[in-house]
Amino acid sequence: MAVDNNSKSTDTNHEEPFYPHELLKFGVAFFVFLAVLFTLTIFLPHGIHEPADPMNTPAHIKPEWYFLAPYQMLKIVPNELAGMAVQGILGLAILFLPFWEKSKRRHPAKRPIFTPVCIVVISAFIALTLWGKYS
Amino acid sequence: MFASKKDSALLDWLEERFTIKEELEKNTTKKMVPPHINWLYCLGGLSLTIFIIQVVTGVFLMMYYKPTPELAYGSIEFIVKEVPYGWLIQRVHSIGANTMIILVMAHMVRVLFYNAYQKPRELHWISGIFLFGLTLITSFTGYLLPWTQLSYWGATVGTNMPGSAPIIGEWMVRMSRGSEQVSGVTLTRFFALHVVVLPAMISAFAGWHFVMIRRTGVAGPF
Ligand code: HEM
Repeated sequence: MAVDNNSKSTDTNHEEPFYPHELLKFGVAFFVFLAVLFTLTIFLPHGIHEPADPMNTPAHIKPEWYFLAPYQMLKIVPNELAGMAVQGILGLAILFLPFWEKSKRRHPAKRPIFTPVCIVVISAFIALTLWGKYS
Repeated sequence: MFASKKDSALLDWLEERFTIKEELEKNTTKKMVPPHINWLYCLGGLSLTIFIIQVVTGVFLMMYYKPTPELAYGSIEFIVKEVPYGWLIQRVHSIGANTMIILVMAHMVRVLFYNAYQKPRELHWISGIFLFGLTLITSFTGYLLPWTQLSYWGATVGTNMPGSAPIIGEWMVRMSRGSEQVSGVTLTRFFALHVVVLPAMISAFAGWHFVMIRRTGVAGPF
């Protein structure tokens, strides 16, 4: 690979050394994260799960939490196909975000359309997840 | 370390053979970043950390896990109850899976609000979206492996979701299950994806992600 030189970066002045302070910051984050993970591991309740029984469908079957939002959306949109289409378009829009969202402003407070739209989409995702969980 | 006037004997020895010093310095002690980068910039590195933890704990689980409908549940029970520290490995792996999704989502939101995806970082974002999707599918396939009621019916609802898509919907459901219903065929299929294909793909996309980030450097705060 060609020699990498961050100072040639196209759009920011890279002028602060990564080592040692920024690296140390990551070190702190790393150990805090490990502490949280192992605390959760030890203190979260251990669920007792029954073995699978394909003959016996439980009353409320749901996907894992990270699929609840799309699942719930498909459930509340009357037309399944329309629901799928909306999700497909949303997925493609997010995938290709850098190719259609090109405003030069960077600070969220200076982006009067983009920031609210993001907040609405993220809130909708959380709301649908909770709705799916408690319905 | 590498910046000290007197380098270690090992480094000098390597330098004579690999001319490695300059490259090392550039990526460690002389690496520059934008001023005022903050704690949120740790989220990508933490996503990588948890991925590595998943690989290591996953390899240990694989030493005892048996991917058949008859044996899967019992083999997990054996890991949790009999194997020394098996309970710990199993719990870290299952909680780690959820943690990884949360971290990757948080990293994505960070990048979004910092507008760090625009030119010249379009491909960082696209490779990131692939990493996000792969992370979700890896969790989903792993969730079936213990063969509990939850995992069985979770996989049933999950594989059913593409069913309403036009034309290819039915085919996708059938391909993801390998049979009409979720069965032993689904289990071995998910197992192969979960332990080989998906982690290899995540590694490849993460490698691409990292090479590009090294080339452009990170985008500084506003
Ligand atoms: C397994 C998942 C992922 C890993 C291990 C990972 C890792 C990293 C790391 C270490 C960085 C350096 C800066 C930072 O940490 O903030 C980074 C930057 C970046 N990531 Fe990710 N990432 C992942 C997923 C994603 C996702 C889901 C997206 C968005 C869709 C994304 C988009 C980006 C972008 C655009 C940058 C450049 C940010 C900048 O220049 O400030 N990544 N990633």
